Amino acid sequence: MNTPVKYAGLFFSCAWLMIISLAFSATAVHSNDGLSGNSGQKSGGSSDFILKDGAGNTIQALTLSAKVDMEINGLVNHTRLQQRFYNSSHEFVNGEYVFPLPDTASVDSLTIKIGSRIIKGEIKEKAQAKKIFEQAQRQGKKAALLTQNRPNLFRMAVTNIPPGEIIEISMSYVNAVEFDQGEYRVMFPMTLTPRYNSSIAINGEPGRENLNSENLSDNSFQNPSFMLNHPAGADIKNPVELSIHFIPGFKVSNVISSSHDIIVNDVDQQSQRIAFSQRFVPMDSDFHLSWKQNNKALQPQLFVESVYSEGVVEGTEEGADIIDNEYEHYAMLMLTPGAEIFDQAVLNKEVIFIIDTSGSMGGESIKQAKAALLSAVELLNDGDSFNVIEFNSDFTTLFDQSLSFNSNTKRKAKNFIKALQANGGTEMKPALLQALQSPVDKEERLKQVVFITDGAVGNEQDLIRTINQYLGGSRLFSIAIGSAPNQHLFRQVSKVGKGTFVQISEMNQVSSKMKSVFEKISKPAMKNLELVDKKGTVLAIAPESIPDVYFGEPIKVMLKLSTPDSDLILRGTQAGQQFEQALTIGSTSSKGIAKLWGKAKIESLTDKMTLGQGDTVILKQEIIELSMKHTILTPFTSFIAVDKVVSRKPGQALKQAKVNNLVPKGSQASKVTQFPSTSLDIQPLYTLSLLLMCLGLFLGYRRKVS
Amino acid sequence: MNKFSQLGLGSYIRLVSSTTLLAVGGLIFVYANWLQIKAEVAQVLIEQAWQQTISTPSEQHKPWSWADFWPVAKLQLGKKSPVYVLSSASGQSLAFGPGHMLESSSIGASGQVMIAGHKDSHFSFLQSAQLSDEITLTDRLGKVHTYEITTMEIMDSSRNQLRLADRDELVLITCYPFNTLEMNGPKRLVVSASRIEKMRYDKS
Repeated sequence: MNTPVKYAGLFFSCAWLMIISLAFSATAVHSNDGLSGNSGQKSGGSSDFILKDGAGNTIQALTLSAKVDMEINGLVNHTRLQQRFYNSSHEFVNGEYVFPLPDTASVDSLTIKIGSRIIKGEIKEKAQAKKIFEQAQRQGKKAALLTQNRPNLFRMAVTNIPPGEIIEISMSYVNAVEFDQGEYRVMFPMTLTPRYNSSIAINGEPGRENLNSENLSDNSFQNPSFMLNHPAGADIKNPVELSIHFIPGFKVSNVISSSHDIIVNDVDQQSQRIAFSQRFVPMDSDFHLSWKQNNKALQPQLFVESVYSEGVVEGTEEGADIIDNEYEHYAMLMLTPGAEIFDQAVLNKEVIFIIDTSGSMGGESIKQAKAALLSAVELLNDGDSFNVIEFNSDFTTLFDQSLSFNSNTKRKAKNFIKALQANGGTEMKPALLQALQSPVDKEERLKQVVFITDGAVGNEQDLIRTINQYLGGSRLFSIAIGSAPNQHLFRQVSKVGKGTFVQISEMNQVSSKMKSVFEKISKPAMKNLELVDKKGTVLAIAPESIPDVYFGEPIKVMLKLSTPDSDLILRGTQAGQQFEQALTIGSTSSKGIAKLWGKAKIESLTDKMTLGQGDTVILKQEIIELSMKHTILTPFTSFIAVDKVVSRKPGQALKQAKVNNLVPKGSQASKVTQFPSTSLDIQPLYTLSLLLMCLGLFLGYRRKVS
Repeated sequence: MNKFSQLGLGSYIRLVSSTTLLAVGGLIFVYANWLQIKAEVAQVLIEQAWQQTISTPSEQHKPWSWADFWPVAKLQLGKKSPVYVLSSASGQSLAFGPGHMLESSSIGASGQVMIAGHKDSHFSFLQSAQLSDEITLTDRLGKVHTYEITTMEIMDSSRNQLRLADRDELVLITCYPFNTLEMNGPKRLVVSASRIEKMRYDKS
């Protein structure tokens, strides 16, 4: 009878010993099996499920690989983006990935692929979609939620990813091919430049903050997180694959990518296939593709999509009466106003350069910015006046006020520029106000502000409002620097600042791009542009007015037509002269134009919101209606897809994991890295051992006494 | 008769728990000592490897054949005894010495050099570091780089990430506070020192 008790006792004590020692060693030392999860760090609302590998290095529990399939057909680009999330941990994971897409993209679908099953997502109002997602999360069903945080920043939330499994999510979008300076362009953003939120609050504009809280940038917005791509040798982080079916619709020359090595293969007479020369590249640099037409000039082009409408007449639109039968004809018109109507007289101007010398500009960026500024100074003419303002946390001006351009002021400027260094925060507003509010000079030269920055600011809307409020008769041009500048900000700054922007991402582009900027700012723009049809009625367009057009720039407008074929007239003023240009254009039918029209319409409504024009509630309602009608993602709607099958049983844990963006290639100052573990935890270990032994001795002593 | 049978169940359990507690406590004690012994004893081998590195800097000299790190610099705060900086800041190499964070500039180059170390072994001297103390860093070519402490900052690693900057400075990172019972604490002491122009050669 005694023996079994003895053995049971021994077994019991051994087991206990093992359990306890295992438990302690697991918490005291990062265990070496690569599975010890540390889901802690529940501070500031952000948490991340990070694993440790054998060598004690941190690895992400959730990793991403992506595939981009584009079909560029004429001037319309259809893109399918596939994101594959792999859960390498032994727990169910809830993943979050904040990522960029082109700000021009009309996102129109979301699907989850699980094995051979495909689950189609639906578009819902934001709050409703979130509710559905959270319910699926509780029920243990796989689900994906796609929301738009900012015009070019999206958030993918994926829940209940089983341990060791991959979830594949696809989304698609349509956008138009860009055209400028004889070059067609398509870009796909891979990462973003970490933004600096300005410490100066949005004050001095009472009443605006309320509007701000309701609207465009989500309050629950989490800043995207970043990681470094490891140097040569290691696995590529965030790998992406690319395949482009390229059907330009005309004979092209110079199909090149300024950002990546690509291979172009002919498929047939009309089309080509384009891929990266290596199958996978890390997502640390935006992808740019450009091409040129063989016969140089851009022929006016009209793309039309006729959509069957279910008799919905939007009462709020002036264009409601031109609905033809049950079809709506959406069109995109692209043309370059003829050079013959352009008065090429060179204007005398006052140019104020603003250069961003904040920390985020460090590394390659500041070198490019300085080179751009130096070449700009060379391009000034006698008769111009100029000044240079540099800003980071504070701003400094070259001269107290703009001075005439001559060899003396030029020398001073060059010395000033050469000494610039990137450091500190990004307070754009004071520098901008200094430039816009400086007194008009005696000779009443047109004031042109040239803004050189990477656009890494958090308070975009405040900046846009400032420009809108103080622009007056000035014009604002931007030079976007870096491998992943914030395109949307530049587009908006150009729109509100009535100028344009160019992007410089490589040193060798500096001189040609700066020349093109100066060509634009030295000649008077075309203003008050309108499109008129045969009957003389002004056509409803989106955006609501055509922006001023500079020399060599194309016009792109979205419009609704009464018939798919139309003779149009373009009229406006240039250098004080009225002009008219008749356009006879054959139309090409093209899929996706309706969505682009919807997007343009939504954009003009959101611009109104940003600038505080109109009733926020009504604008929001209009945006939601357009979003549902054209199935386009907006800041107020989300795509939601939920699986029917329950994957995670009740009681099984669900961890929170993040997918990080890569730090943009070449940016030095914006680099961030994780803190390493820097403690052996000797003291707590000694304390623990002492405590345990004391307790043991105490129990042993008590036994003897009793 | 077995001695166990004479005991009641209560005291039997007490015996087992007391033995277990003593054993586990003892094991942890041994483990903690082992961590420190390992950190100290390895220094002899690392120092040898460093001497070889100084004499033939073109090669990598591992302290022992299966190590996946090697010494890349010698670091000294004021008159305190020097420590050898290893080629990586992975958990494994940090057990043997402070490590150079690969994402920062390389040692000897002008730029931001980051070095991390354990607060309770090699970097315990940072406890007594003060503003404007001098730190010297000897690179593998024997060049001595002198820095002066300009800022000492405590950061929460669960909220912040380390920002790499385009500055010519030395950044030392260790856990904080130095005396605590908390394990895996999130706080870090970040000591930044900027270069002072003083260059000399050290071949010893």
